[in-house]
Amino acid sequence: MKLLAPLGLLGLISILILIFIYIIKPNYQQKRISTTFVWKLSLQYKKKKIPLSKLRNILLIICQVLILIAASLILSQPNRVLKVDQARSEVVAILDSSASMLTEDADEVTRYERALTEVKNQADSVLAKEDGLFSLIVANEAPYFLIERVTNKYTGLESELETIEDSCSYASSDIETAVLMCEDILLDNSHAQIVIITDKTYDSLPEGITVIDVKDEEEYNVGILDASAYYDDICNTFTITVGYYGNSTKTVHLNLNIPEANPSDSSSENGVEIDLNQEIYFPGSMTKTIIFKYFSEDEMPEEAGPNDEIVYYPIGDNEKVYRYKSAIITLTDEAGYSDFDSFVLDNTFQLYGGLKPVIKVVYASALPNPFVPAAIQNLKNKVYKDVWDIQLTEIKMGGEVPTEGYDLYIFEDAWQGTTALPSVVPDKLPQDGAVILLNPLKAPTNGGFHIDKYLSLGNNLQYIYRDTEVDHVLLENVYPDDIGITRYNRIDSYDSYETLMYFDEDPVFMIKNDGADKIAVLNFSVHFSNIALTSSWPHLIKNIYDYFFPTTVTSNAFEINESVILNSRGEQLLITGTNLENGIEFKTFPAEYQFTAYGTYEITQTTYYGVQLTDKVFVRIPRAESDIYAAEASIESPYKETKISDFYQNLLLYFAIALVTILFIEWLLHIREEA
Amino acid sequence: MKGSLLNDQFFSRLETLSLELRSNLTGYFGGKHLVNRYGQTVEFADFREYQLGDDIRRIDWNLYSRFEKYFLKLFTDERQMQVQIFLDCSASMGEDNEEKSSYAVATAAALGFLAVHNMDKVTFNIMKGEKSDNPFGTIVGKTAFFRAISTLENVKFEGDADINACVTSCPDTSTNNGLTVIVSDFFTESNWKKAVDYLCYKNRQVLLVQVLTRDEIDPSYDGRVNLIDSESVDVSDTKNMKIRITRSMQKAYEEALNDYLQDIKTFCNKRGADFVTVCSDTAIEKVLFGELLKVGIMS
Repeated sequence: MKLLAPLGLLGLISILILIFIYIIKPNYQQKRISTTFVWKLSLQYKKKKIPLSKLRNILLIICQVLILIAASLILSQPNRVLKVDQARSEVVAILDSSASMLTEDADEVTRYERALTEVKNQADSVLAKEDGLFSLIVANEAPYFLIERVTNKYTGLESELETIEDSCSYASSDIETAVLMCEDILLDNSHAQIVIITDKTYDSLPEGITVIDVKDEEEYNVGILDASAYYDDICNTFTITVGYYGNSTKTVHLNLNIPEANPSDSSSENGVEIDLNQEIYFPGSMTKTIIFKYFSEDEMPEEAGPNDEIVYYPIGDNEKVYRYKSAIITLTDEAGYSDFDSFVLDNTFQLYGGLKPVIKVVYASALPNPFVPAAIQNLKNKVYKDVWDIQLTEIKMGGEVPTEGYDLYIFEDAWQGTTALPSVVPDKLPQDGAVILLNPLKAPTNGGFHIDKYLSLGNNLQYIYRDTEVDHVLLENVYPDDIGITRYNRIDSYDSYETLMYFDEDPVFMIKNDGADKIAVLNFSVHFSNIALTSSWPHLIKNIYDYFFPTTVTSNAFEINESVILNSRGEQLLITGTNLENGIEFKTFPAEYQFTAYGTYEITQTTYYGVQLTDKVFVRIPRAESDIYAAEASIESPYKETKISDFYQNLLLYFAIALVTILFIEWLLHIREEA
Repeated sequence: MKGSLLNDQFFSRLETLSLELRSNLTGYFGGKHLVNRYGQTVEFADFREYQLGDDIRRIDWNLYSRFEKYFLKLFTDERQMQVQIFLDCSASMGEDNEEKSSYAVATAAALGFLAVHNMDKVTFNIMKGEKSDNPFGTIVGKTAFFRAISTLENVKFEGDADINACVTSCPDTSTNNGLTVIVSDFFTESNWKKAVDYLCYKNRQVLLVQVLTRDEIDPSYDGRVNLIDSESVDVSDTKNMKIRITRSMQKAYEEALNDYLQDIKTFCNKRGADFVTVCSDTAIEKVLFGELLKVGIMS
């Protein structure tokens, strides 16, 4: 038995009061009689009586005590606690807010709008019941409760739904997380129904979850799933993946338009327009990859069949694209309309990155070696083939060493035997680019360091080391323990340099990256070291290059809500574009950003050397959302504990009956006493 | 006389009664009580053979002529008895209850009248405290009796009375010559039984008359009462008691009273004493003509 109101037991204090009354109550009337002799005798007679008679004498007070106890217990609301599986009408609606829900039917009503109507129906249905509860989870990439467990007394349902009328996202939806968010509700009411209002189909559903499909079978979508371009040895090859999702056959037209193909440079407007068209036939729902590529006559591919997933479109000589500022890819119907299908957000795609930024590198050495150029060429031809246009200029021995006009200067001094060759390091380092000093035999005036002397370490390689507590990006894949030297220039003072490798506590590799001051100093010669023979050498050069010339973005095409890492070669970076009229500025790098709207964005920056750079990115609908007939395997069943809740069986009636019975007995006793 | 209890009509009826005393009492010369000794009355009792020294005038010559032996005629003896009446004049006998006190007085007076009517001697002993007082002396004859009664009416009932002390200290208690009556309620802690034993030792005929009121037999009050004993000194006296009189308590009272009376009866039976309980609301004629006749003390 459980007492819902234990404070009612305070009523037992009344028993004390009753006892007190019995103690103080006696109001004896005086009676003068001839003698108390016989009364005294009768007392002895009373004492001889058996205990039960004594009990009979106090029966009245016992009754009264029982009455007070019963009354106190009644005040305490005695209840017997039973365990009952509590069932209550409750619906948790999960509204799919992904991009595919913007698919329109023939009446231009989107799936999202139909879903909202269904949400209202569900709400009306459950709230019509007296104990009905309704909740709504908006499932976008970060699901949240819009309405939580409201009853029919809640008046804000309409207004809440109005706030999300135009809030369908352009990204994917996380239905799984939305379902798991229902766990707390299910713990409280295991009979709550989860209704997912979506356009996705599930192979299997756990118990208690219902899916309301808002698709219309007449809807179909042809979308550009992906597009990219890569430069092979001849020209750019454009690869475009198109998907068709529908119930019948479909023929669409793919248009690849390059408005300014092959400009002389990125700022020039003198490119030519190249327009490529391809008709694509889909026998049914499938994905096709269209490749616009130049083939020589003997390499011409066969014509693709209707069911082929890869279609080659050979381009002519006058259609070669070497460079391009942008490429616009569009899907249209026969009439040329791009909004011909039910889902139009993926009917266009913009491709950027056709103009690789130029990095001019100059290599001047007192004793040129192949190692440095090889490392630079490796970056140019392999690592950053599609990213940077690295133009290397090698200054021959004795030639004039440039101190301007380049982005990266590599100055290398050398010994011949024990004789130091004339230094190529300028007295004053260039101000318009980064500098790598290899084996400097003199410190430039603005170098910020001082060379004490050179030290010969004998004929055996002496290995350098790094500060193991420092984990620097420049030493990624670089193993100082493998690098041995026999000679180095001892630097005895340096300002604002970060030392990364040492020999005998002297710095042998240090770096400065302070705004426009980008200097890397490797104060030992490759000729008196084994570094060029180790795998560390190309990595070191690459790391220095990445450090001084970080790519602004890693790609030119992203999906909505995809995390984008931003780097800058200047102090700040500005992004403008869709939904960013005023732009957003970044001053700390690397920065991370998520594009939330579909469209083209422009990223502008001014380098430390005053060069203005512009990058464009295209943010598209997630590829998965183009499949408007997507089927999911299953949904993980949320934890559903059958809530055995407490059911309180009121015992008041029984106690009341007992109370009345005792009252009746007490009344009888009282009458007998008075009689 | 107190009230209407004793009046001429009543006394005239009493004249038809007489006290029946034991015949083995010796008494005094010149009474009306037949004793089992031979006396000088004219009522023939028995013959006895002549013995040397007997009065020859008492020889029955008719028997001699018949039997040629000398026989004497014996005659009954009538003696005068002494009736002692001890009246308990403690507070319980009527300080607050005039009915009880007058009834006790009337009972004592009635017994005294019967005694003097039968030409016996009567003494009235007022028991108070530890001494009994006889302000009237030995009463013989009705004139002295009525004089004594008029004084007895005004006696005060107060204090307590130790029956044993009063009876045993009484100088008038002769041996074997009469009846002693104790009129009391016998609701006392004192060992009155010793008084009875004393009187039996004195070879007196003993009659105990217990006078009770109706309230004492069957108390009509109940509830929470502080009973003040009439013989208590003050409120804090241990004789007083606070009691809650319930039905069961009343039953216990009844039982205790019955047992007490039975105890007295048994005691008296063993001693050969007579015991009568009378209620003050019963007509005194009923007592005399009823209860006392029943026990054989009257005829």
